[in-house]
Amino acid sequence: MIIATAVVMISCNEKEAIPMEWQFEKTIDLDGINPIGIALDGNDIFLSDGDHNRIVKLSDSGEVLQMMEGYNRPMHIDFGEASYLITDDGITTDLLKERALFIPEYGRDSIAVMRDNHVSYMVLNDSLDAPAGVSVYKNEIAIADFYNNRILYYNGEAWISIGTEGKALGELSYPTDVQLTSDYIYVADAYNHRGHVFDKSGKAVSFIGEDQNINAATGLYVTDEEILITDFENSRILIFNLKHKLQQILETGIHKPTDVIIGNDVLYVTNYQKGELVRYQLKEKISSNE
Amino acid sequence: MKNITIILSIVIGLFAITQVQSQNKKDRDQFEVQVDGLGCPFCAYGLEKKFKEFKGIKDIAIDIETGDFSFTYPSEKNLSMTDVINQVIKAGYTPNLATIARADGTIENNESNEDIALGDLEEDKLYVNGMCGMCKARIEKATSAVPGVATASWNVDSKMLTVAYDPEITNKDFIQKAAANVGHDTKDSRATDEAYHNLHACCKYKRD
Repeated sequence: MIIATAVVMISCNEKEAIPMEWQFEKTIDLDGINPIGIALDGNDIFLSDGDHNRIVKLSDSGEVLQMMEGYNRPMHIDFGEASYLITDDGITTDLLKERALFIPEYGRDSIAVMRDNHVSYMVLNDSLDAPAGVSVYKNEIAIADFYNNRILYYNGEAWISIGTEGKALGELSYPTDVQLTSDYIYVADAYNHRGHVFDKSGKAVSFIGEDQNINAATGLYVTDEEILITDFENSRILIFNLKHKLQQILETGIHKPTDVIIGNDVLYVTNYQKGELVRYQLKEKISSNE
Repeated sequence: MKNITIILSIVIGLFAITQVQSQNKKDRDQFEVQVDGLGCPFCAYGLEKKFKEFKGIKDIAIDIETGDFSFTYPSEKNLSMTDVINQVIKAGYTPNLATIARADGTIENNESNEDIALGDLEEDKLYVNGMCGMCKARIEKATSAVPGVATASWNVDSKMLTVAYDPEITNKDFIQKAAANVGHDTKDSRATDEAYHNLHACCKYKRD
């Protein structure tokens, strides 16, 4: 009995990890929707349609479930559960960690907060100039403040401004997207054509993909294993590991992408100009000999 | 009788609304500008944002595919064609045909009537640095405006400008200088730092 268990253990230990990669599955035509940002809520997909000033809710198969109008150029959106002050018709209340969709309105210089189709606005003492992305992690919030060339970061107690205009480490050129993780702040540093990583004190840590000839890094998504960056002008998604080493480049079906996200084992890409949503699936890597 | 009164009230109300709308139209000038290179939404919405500096602007519409940008503005403010063109350039874009339909019925546009008769054309390929569709619009606009140039077409991938020109009227140096003047380095002509700095963010190529 002991020997049999050991054999199983040995055989388990010896089992090689199967190399996996993202493979193109299909393109969904969005019929008049020009998606910029994407967020997931369970099986539902939320898209910001900047051209038409609305948020669109889709099923995972791409069927339109709901259109929410009235947003002024909504950009990279995110779901979160922060405790933060919001205002609605002059009445200020606390979100109290109620799950909400955070919507940066580029044309209104504000962050809308939507819960059950009801819209409020984040109370901010600092002025934004074209917010292009927002990220919520636990009680922290980060905003990509496009024309101010900075990230505004709320650490749960106070706001700090991260980055100034420029090309050097710690400097940004029109950030369009941001994501908070447990330890870092990842930024799509759009017109420096790279990803940019800061720690939570605001200190610049490193670049991502600086040597990949990215042309407009417009969107970004980070998982526990990967960092994904959209390369808008070159119509690519670049996937790096957490050590910032390039792992895979996605090109099939991708045209002028603005955002990317992974959920429910599916990778979604928003093709802004063509009005499409592209799906990739994680599958066993196809050998180059096949 | 009661129904007739209700119907009459509705008709009079609709007539009044139409009159107000018509009056509003009469008080506003209609502007239409064709802008090249609006490929990226962040840039396009930036153009819209820049025009919101004109207090009183309304009815803004922007078509990123075609580059058609339109708005209305109070006629008593007499916003000029030059103001509009300068604002487009200030936002980092290249204006093409612009038309103003004034509230009083007059039409203005920025079309140039200057045509120079060209002789035998020579074709050359010139290196011009740039990044994107907006660069393409700017480079082609600047170089094709050089007297003696018949056509100019820039390829974003190869960075090469294919230009057909009359060598009796102009030459490669003039054409390269025209590109450099709007911020784009060429093989033989380097843009000033100021011209480079004035480029829109997405057009800031890596300088050699």
